[in-house]
Amino acid sequence: MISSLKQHRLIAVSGFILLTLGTIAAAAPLAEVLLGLDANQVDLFNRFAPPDSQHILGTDELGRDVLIRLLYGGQVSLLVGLIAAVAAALLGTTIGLIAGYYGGKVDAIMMRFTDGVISLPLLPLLIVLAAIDLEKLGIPEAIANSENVSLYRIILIVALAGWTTVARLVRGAALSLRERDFVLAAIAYGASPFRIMAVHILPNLLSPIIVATTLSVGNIILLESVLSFLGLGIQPPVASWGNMLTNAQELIWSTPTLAIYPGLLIFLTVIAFNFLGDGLQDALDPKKSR
Amino acid sequence: MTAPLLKVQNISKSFTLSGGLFSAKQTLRAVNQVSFTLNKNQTLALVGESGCGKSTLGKMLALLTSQSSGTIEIEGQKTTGNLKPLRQKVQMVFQDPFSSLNPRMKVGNIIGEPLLVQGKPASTEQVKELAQSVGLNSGDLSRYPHQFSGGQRQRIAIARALSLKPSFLIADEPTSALDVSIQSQILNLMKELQSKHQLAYLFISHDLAVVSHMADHIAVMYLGEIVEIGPKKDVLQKPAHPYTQSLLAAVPKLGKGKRQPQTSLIGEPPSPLAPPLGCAFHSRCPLAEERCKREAPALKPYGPDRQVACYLKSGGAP
Repeated sequence: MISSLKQHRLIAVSGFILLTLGTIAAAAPLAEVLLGLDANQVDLFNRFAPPDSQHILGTDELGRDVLIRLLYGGQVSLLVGLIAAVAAALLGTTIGLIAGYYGGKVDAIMMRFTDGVISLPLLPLLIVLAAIDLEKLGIPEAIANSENVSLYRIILIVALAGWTTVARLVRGAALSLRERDFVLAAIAYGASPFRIMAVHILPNLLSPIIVATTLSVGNIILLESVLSFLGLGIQPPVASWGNMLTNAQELIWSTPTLAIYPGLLIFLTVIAFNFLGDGLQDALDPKKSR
Repeated sequence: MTAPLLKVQNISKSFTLSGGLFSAKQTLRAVNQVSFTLNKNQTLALVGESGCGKSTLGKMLALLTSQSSGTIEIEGQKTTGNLKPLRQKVQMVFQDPFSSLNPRMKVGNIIGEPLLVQGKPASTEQVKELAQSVGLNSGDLSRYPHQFSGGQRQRIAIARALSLKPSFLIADEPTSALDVSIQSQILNLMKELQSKHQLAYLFISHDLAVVSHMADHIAVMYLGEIVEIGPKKDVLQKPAHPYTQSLLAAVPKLGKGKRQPQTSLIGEPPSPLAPPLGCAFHSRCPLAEERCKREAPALKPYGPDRQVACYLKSGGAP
């Protein structure tokens, strides 16, 4: 009883932190208006300004307001984390469900493919993928050169690389669920494979999927910051916590706060997502809650 | 006479086991050349030890696995091609009511789903009626399975099986997971439903007391084969096959002193991976002769409406 309350407190605290971060990040345009600032406005006469009433956290090496950029960076990092995690979960669930339900050869082929994706060296692959020139792929110039293309690209890359965990999880659970009597009963009254997967197997798998997805958000935010740090993720002038760290690396001795703020936010977000995942794992476990 | 409700002819089921990378594939013969018929409003009880193929036979008849050979006819229709319409006629009640209901579905949806799947969505009234016919309240329909006891869950499973108005119900040890006090309630419910809907039951069990309460006919299985089949009274009171005799002798009786030692079985049944030559039972049979080790006896008529697979009995029929 006490331990379950503690677990729910874990969910409450980490959920609160994430909601607050999300809300504040979403309010970035509002903060811009209130403070009379612009995230990308360069002010070379006011570089490395200390905090004051207008620049609450000071300015960076180009005189841009650090707080506003942190908020916009938060939008990007959280968005990338959530969308990529959900996309990866959808892809992984579909593949795992089909492999687990049909079993046999379908399962063997799909899981060997999954093993293949898992054993690809991720970082070099991501670097190559991130370096692809979209214009040469026949994608219209307007899209290929738009400001947000690096955002879409990184979501796609992370989703394509990250679905394997969920796929294996779902496949294993589906393999055992399809032997359960209620699935046999559904076959016996003529339910189609699609119906069995959607109505009888998937709902019984939701809690592990939710937990795995929550835990993966933190990893994806880390991956995004790694890629951005390497200069392959979110491209300036769009801010992300990762590329703010990159900008700060040469200034770490002179202005350490430029690295500390985004680093701290990444740390806080990732740890909150991990705690949330752990808390959900315990809360959604029917054996514990009942 | 019209065609029987269920006609099973020489059905067998074998599974291929891949024994790993370096060992040869093995064939497990779960059910071997089983034939019988079942009529409306009748109960055939299938008894035998664990692993004798009872459940595999039940699953084949519920069209959950296909037979390796032989034919099944349900109301004269062979079980080939599109099975979906045929599935309405055969439904199954499972042993474990905790695993046979989807924990994420409300009871009302569980009971109504077979009709939905068969393309004739059930009205709330219909579902309520079904629930009432198995002794559930209409208030139970919006609850989840985990809020019910084992006996109530088995009632839900029976309501689900009956929703399609099947003519034939397979019950795979429907009471063995339940408390004794609940068992009789479920059995009586099944009897009541049988006379109401003229249902035929295939009742799989290893509990002879339950079987004597439920069955009209009894089929005794050993190592995938039916060794004796006949009317309940004859089989229980004058068992012909040595295996049936030892099964009955193994039932503990109150106030009758010790059971006869010579008929109790020794050892385990042989592995279905390597069934013995000749009669499958000869390795444990107290009466086995030379001949039993060489040739397998076929199921031969033994008295009216009764068949036995044993050399000692065939020909010696009264």
